[in-house]
Amino acid sequence: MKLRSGISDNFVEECSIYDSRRSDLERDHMGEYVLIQRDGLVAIFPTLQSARENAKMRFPHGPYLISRIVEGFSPSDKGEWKFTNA
Amino acid sequence: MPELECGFTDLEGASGSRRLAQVGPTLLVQVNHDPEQWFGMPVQPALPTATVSALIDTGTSDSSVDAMLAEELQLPLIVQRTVSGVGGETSVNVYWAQLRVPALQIQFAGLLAGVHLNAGGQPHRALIGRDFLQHFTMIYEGRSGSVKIVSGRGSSSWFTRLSRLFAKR
Repeated sequence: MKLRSGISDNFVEECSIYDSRRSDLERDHMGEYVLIQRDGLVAIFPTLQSARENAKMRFPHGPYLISRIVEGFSPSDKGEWKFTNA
Repeated sequence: MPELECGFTDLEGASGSRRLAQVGPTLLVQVNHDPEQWFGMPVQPALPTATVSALIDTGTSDSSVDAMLAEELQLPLIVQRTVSGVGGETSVNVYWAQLRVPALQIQFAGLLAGVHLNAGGQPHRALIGRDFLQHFTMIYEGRSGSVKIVSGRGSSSWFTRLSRLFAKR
């Protein structure tokens, strides 16, 4: 995946890893934070802060993805524009 | 057919054309987080709504929000990711929020990356990308300073027909 600045990242791969484990994550870790690196799921953390600290320690140069585990959500879900009536 | 002027007029010696070139097409948006649109996970207390100026940025695919505004509004930070490049690691916070353009009766609900607009001295506090523009026709008149956003919603407007004509060329 190319960003506007020209640098590349592993977001697509990380989202794919999240999606492949999504049902397990939603069943066992709702509301927690998952740390994913391109080689796979690294660990689950109770808070964003703990996930951040651990990620920086393990992967000081990145890349990685931290995502909150929310029912029905995938980090690849961008959202959409919809017309409203109001 | 909703239509919104996003350009500039002449003001205090500065031409609309010049002001548009300096600032860019600008519209007012409401940024907030609606608990009812948060996958059934209420956020308490309800977060405030901010009305801010947004730049229509044809150079970006996805809309985004100023990182400082996201923190001020305490938008739920749902994803944090890093990207690596020659300059080293860059961290990107991604929030779940709503962007609403009342004048055009359209709303975005989903993930918005936090970008450093205010910290960089930019006047806008949100970027509206091509994900928004795919629903509209934008007419940019650089010589006059006028920018019109037109919705062809519900009708086959002459703008739409004109766009299709150009697309075939």
